[in-house]
Amino acid sequence: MPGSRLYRALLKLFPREFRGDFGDQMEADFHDQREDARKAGQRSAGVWTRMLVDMLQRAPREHVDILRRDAGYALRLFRRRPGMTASALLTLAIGIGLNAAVFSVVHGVLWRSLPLPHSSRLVYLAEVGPPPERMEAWVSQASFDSWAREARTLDAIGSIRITSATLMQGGGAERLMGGEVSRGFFATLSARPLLGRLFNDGDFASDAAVRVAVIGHDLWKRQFGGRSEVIGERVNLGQAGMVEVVGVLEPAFVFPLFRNAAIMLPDVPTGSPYRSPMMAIGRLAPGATVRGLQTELDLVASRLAAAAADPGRAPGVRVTSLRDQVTSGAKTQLWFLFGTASCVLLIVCANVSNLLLTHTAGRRRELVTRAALGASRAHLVRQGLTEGMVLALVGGIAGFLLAGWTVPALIALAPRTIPRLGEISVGWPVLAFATVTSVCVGLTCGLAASLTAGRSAPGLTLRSHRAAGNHERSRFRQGLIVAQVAVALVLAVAAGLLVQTMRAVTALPLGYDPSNVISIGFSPGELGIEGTAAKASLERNLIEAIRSVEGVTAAGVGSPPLNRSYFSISIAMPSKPSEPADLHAEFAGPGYLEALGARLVAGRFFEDRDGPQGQPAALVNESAAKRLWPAGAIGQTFLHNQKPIVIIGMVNDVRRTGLEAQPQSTIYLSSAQNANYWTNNMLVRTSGDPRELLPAIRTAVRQVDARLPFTSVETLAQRLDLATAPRRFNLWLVSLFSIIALGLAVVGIYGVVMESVAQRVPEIGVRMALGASAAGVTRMVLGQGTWMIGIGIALGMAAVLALNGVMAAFVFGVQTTDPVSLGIACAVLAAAGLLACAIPARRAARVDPVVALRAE
Amino acid sequence: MASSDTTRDPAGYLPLTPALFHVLLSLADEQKHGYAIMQAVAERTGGQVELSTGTLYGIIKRLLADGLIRESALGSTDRRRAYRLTAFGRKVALAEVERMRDLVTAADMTKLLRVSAEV
Repeated sequence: MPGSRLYRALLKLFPREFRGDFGDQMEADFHDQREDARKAGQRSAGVWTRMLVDMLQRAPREHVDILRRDAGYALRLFRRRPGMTASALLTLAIGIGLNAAVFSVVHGVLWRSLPLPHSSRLVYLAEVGPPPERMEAWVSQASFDSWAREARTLDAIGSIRITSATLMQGGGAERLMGGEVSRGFFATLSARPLLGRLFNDGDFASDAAVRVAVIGHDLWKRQFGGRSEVIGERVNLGQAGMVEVVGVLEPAFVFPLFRNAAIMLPDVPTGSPYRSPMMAIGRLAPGATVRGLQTELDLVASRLAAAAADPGRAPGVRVTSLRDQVTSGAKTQLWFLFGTASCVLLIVCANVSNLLLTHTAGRRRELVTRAALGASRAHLVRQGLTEGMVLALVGGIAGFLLAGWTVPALIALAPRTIPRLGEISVGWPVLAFATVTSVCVGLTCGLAASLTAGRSAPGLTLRSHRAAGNHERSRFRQGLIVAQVAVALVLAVAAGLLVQTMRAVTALPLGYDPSNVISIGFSPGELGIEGTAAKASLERNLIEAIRSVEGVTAAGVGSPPLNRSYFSISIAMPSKPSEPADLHAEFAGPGYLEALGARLVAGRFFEDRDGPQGQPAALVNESAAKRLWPAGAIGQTFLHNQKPIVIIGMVNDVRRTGLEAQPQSTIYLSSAQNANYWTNNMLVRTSGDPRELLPAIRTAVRQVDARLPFTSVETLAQRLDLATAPRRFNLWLVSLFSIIALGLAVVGIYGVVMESVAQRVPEIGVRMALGASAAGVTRMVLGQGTWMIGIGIALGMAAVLALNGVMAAFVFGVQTTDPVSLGIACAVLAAAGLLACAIPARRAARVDPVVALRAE
Repeated sequence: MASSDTTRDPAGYLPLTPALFHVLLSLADEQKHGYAIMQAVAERTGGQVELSTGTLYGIIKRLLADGLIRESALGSTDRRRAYRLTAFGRKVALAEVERMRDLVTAADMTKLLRVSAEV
């Protein structure tokens, strides 16, 4: 009957066990029901509907019932083996916890939407230079205007120029970072005022009667005490003049590419072509994509390029989502850490599978009994899976708690170069990740353990001691150990390479001495100083005042090293004025190079005589001298802006822009001879801790001019620390991961060899009875371990070579195939592994043949 | 699975769900197979409790596991198995009846039943 066929198919919804017990009867009952309904003249559709509803309700319950029974059984088993359970749970908690912690960082930094409305539609627009470099740059007014005019897929577009101002408030001065924003900026970000208003069209008129400002929430709290009367108040921004506060931004508002913008001013058009470039952002129209906008703006750019005087040099455009732009710097690093953390998870899986296998092996008799009583292989596998799941879920809960506990530490350790650290939290997504990971780990471990056990079960009989499946199982376990050793080796090599990298980075010749030097920024803009002479005299007075402080050994105007940005100038030889050469340039005053600790190779440093009245003078570094004046630089003259400048000295190469960047050809120009370029920074070298002298330095500066505020104050040691922070973070985490991996691998090897010895006690007894020496037995056991470790190391090496390209992005000053790192990693793993075999080997050597044989 | 009846306390199985109780009741007088149980329950309750096959065999599974009923050799055919109440199952059913009787007695002592009778 077709009906009963359908019914039998539907019965498949029930667990097999239930179906086996009651399927036939249910089918017969259903048949009777239909017969009765037919006799009673009822329609069979009603019977079918009721049956269907019943099945859909009952079948899941039967599954849950079985699951609950299996889980209860697993829990009872675990309670009987607390040692095994505790070590499995600990292993799982560490593995899942570490991964959840790293995931929470990856999620919080890379994936979480920016805390702005419509954040998924926000894009960052940049200019790109001509190929092949296609260097990304901020945007010129001309490009911005053309995009704003032509882009159809943008709902809104806005720009912000970085500026700074000094807030003169209550007798003091505070240096503020600020932004000059375009008309569309706030609209693009859907910003709203907490108080007052944001900018309107009138504010952008170049003949506006008053300049207005919108202040950030922090500044409002800090400088204006959170008073609502601040709206309408005029505040003094020093050189930028008086502005009227018209609004206060909401506390949640933050522009993620310029977080410390405290005050916003309208970007009033000046018509000048020499304005500083700006950051541009846009909001995509609903449904529009980054790629679509890119295509559209490419067309706009190519049309502009065709009309330009020099089409080859016209800028292109690059569109990225705002979130990608914010997080781009940290992406590879975080993925790398996530990858290494998952290696630990792999080892955890192998270890727990091994533990469960030992556990199932110990229950062989029970499994055989159950199989004999009719438990199918599927049933045994299901039981094994449930055991794995129960362990993994409990371990996962512990891991999640562990993550909640370690994430704050991770954030504290993380370098400031990673954005959005404040937005990391252990919330639902992390819980979901921990759950999914636990389920995957539980399935993997349970399946690995039970499939091997299940396969061996039919081959076993109650009477046999050594069964066919044993061999297969120990093969599988040895395979797990080999995999563990291989993964642990990969991590150990990574850690070794990062240690070497850190050594290479810290051993880099800086070319200067960063100890006891402090960099102090100042802001002379408010003093209304005009002209070369006035600037030179302020700088001279300032430095003289600071030099008079007890403990200061050198001081001079100039920028701090590791600045990332640099100034570039063109110079020419008097003999070939039409062939300019580009060099890095630094505007420095007397005492600067001494305070930095640069070494004078020839000639002299700047002195007071290199002032406005003196002959234009410069120093060069060795690279510049070698490149441009190989015959000797001192006394040579070059042209800069058609003006002759004479070289008075040569200093060694100094790592100025970045720690890991090769020093470039650099020229030092006298700050006192340049009215237009203000470094606004000085370096002070002291005999002791420079931070202790800071109050005295402040007092000295106040005596020169009380209105001069300090901006950034930082020791060179701090700057160096920050420059190495990302690498240190990698090193810390990967070392931690590799130590955990090594520990787990050692525990795994120990467990497997120990079990194998326990199984072979009778065999060892026979061997010893036949004359094998204790040393021979020890060698036999160690030999077995050596094989596993050896194969693991070989596979690990292959993986290391395969991952060469990935690792190359994270090392510096060392080859990814560095024989020392590789050798040490292999040696450490081999030694730790053999040590783990040594204890079982000793036990094997102590086997008493009489006792062993009697037991047999 | 079921340990000896004398050591188990029927009270540990109480209260019974109505469906489960009715299944026990339907087996009180004679052994029945599944469909007969369904019919008997429907008849006894005037169609109020209608067991579907899935629910019924879920209950039978539990009753078998707990030793309240057992399969009967008598009356079984190839496809059909009949079930009968065990002595322990009878005790449990009786204990449930006692429990409900106690409830009714307790309610009798209050105004509850009198008031509802008046209403």
